[in-house]
Amino acid sequence: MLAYIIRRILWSIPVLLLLTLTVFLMMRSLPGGPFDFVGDKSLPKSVVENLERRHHLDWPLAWQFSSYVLGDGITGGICTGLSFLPGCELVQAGARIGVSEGLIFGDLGMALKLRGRTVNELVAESLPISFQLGMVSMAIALIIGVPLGIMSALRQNSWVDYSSSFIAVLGLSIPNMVLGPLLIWIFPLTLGLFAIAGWGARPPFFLGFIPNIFDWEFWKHAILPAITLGTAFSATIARLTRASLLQIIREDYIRTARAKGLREQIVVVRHALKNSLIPVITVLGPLIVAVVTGTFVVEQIFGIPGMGKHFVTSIGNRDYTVITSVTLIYSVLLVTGNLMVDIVYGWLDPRIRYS
Amino acid sequence: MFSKKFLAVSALAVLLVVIAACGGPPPTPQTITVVETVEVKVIETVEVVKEVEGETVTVIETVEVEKIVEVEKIVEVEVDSGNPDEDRVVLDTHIGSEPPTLDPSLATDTTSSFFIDQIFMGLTTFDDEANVVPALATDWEVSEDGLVWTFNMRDDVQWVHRDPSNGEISTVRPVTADDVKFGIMRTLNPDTASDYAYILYIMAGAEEYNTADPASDEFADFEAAVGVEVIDETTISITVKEPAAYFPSIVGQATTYAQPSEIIDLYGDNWTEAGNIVTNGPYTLRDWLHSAEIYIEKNPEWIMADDVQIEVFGGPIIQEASTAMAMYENNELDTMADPGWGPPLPDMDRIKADAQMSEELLIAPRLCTYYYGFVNTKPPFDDPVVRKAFAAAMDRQSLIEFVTKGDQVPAHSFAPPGIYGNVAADFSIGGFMVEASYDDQLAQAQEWIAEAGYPNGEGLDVVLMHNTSEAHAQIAQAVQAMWQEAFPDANIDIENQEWAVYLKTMQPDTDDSEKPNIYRLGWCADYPDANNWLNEVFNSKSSSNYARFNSPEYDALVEEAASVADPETRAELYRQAEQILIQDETAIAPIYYYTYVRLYKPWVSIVINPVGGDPVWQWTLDADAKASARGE
Repeated sequence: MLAYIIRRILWSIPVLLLLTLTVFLMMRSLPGGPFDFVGDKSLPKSVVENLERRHHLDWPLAWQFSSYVLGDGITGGICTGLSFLPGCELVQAGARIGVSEGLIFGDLGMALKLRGRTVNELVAESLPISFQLGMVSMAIALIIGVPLGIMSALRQNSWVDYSSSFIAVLGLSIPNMVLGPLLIWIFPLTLGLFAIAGWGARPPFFLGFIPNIFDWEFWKHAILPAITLGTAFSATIARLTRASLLQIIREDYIRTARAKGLREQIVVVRHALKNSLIPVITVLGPLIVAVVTGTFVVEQIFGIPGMGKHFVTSIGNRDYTVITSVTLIYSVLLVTGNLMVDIVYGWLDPRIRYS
Repeated sequence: MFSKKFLAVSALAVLLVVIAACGGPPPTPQTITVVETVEVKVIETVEVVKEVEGETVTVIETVEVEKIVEVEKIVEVEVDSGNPDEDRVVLDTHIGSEPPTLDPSLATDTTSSFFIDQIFMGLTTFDDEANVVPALATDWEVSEDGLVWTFNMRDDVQWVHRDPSNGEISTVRPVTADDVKFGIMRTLNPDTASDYAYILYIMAGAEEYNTADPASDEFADFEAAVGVEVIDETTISITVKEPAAYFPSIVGQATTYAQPSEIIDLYGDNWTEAGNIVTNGPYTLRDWLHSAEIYIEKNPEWIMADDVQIEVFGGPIIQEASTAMAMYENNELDTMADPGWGPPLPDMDRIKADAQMSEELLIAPRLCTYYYGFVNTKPPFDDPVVRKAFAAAMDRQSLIEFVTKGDQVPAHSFAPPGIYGNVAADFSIGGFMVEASYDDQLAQAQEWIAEAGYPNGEGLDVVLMHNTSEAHAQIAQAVQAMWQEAFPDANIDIENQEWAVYLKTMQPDTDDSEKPNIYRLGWCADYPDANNWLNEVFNSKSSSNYARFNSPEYDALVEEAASVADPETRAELYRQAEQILIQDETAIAPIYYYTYVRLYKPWVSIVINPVGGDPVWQWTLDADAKASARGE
């Protein structure tokens, strides 16, 4: 098992590197650059040149990538040693301005549009908030979704089943940008409950991520956005649980369990549910990763300073370092999430072995 | 079996509780950890190697030395955790976006500029009629040849620092001419890479320094050649490369603000963070929790601190206007007035119809113009008559009434009212775009299009392009319908491109085949002078000249206007320039002059400067009325 995990982690390194390169190249192949405009205006060439030099964008692409991944120190070193390489005169001229220590040393570089700020700072201040919102949303999704799925599977084609499918379809089809303002109108504006916008927990967080969950301020701000996010996921989870439980419950071993006189509860929970969760867990891994790295629409509606906006705005801004870095973080979490899912498989279904 | 599981579960529960408890805020009174540098006496043992003269023997002697060393020490400071704003006048607002920076050299957007103007002072500033008035400078004079400007400065403006551990604001030292020079030089330094450095290119040697290669050997010479000279502590003289009557408004720009060199050296890029920053304006930065909230606090040491009534100003950063609107209506915000974001458009009809909210609505002129440009080199818009026809066939009043809804003013000149040298009152220029009766205007447009050889628009294939945005799309659709009505046989298409791509397409050096016939753009004043408009945008050498308008006569007029000193002559030159740009050539079709659309609760009274932005220090707030409205 341990060997398997180590092998998976080692395999992910070239994958992540290739992905970084792809995002890096794709962003740069878009027309326009980060310094082509400020607001409604375009900038004189001389100013753009200063900005590009400041961020090493005047270097040949290969050297820019090297600076991003290996850092200015190593890149400068390569150029000192192999000064005949093309573009090395620019690298040596620009080495005076430090931009990045290098990805391999944990430096995600400097943001291009938010002046003077590093991507590490942006991630450090926004990821914990997205993580908190994502976790509460997932908890809500599971608390609603799994029981709803079980109930409709056990009472297939009864009114329970129909009404739970109705709720699920509703949850899936109401977009966040409708549900969010609707909840704001119902709770804070009409009933005076919960906060309209903002985030209640503020740094420092325990372990860097966990807020004080006994503070009402946190829940006051977290509940509405979490419900907005969670309902759609709960619908997905409910439908998946139902479908997979329906299939499992017809298996021979369930009949055997019933035949030997086990209580229905034990049959369902221990024998049927545990096995039927495999498809749920499969989607849950990537879903959790997607939701903890931020969701643009919900963050926007509720004024939450999470990471979702960086995924969206940095593309329009052509903020190369931010988009490459947040995509990389997302991918690292995704790889980790999938690995966890595979480990949980082994626990849910003992027939699954990794060697 | 039961007990095992139960134990595991309860252990987990206990663990969670412990984790949660650790994550909680410390009990009252709050303590925060501050790193303090203290001097400590240390007795050190030093080995001294002595060579006795004439002998080859080395003697090692141990001597005790006493010295004072600075050591960083972590101190827990108690903070009063009660609400610090209890007895203060607080104005709650929302902020429409995270300011990209609070560094005066680097700011380009309205949100950053708004806060920079609250916490810093320029040599000059603007009053509510867009006139240049003294601020940090008391007065100024210009040499006879118009090339050397000397500014006398106040000596009583202090740099202040707010200590985050106890909230105390204390003075650091007076603001001097050296700080102003440092600010200008830092903006111009190519390594700072300031976007707006080019606005200072009027200073002698500025462009050469800003475009020099920092790695070159002559770099220091370029630096020394910039025409900024400190005469004494409170006098600074600036040499310009040609006479520029508008120069006093340039030194009201954030890029010329005094900056504290020692703080910037100490903290580098982070010098603008709360706790690090030192400021000299009416307010100082209290909190800046990135992307979440910003608060500024009154600077009690400021020169006119006695006149400042609002003591704390700020609020959450909320990009969604409808969310902020909900908070405003719930009395959580006193203003719905972010510089860039007014009330949401869909709410405008409701606001205007509501007895209470229509009272709270404030619409004020703003120095920006929204326009459609014609690509002057691309047929059929290389013909001025076609351009005139399209510029005339726009019902600007209906557009404002039914689409933009912000009581904007129909435009018939490029520079809006409030800009020095504007011709907005002169209807002999562009009057055909804003006739009292749109039917006359329409008939004229149809006549022109027939004259140009396209009766009823027959044979016209026109592409109108805008950058992707709901608001621009609505305007484009309305204008398309107007054109279609005026020229029924023309084929008019709307295209849109994402902003960065759009600007690339519109660059003057992009091939015309990739460009649309008509593009949309807005321009806002950097400083209230027509030079910033007519010369910096439509001079044929300008990189913003997306219309590819090329008139040597026009270039000569705006270049002359930039260099003469006499105000009357300048105004006349700009009038002639507008005459060519709008009336004769119709290189662009101005659509409307922007307005600020904002909501203020009745207990807030405000002053807006069309250029200087919002002098919050001149605002007042009735705290009792606010408290009673909130039910406190």
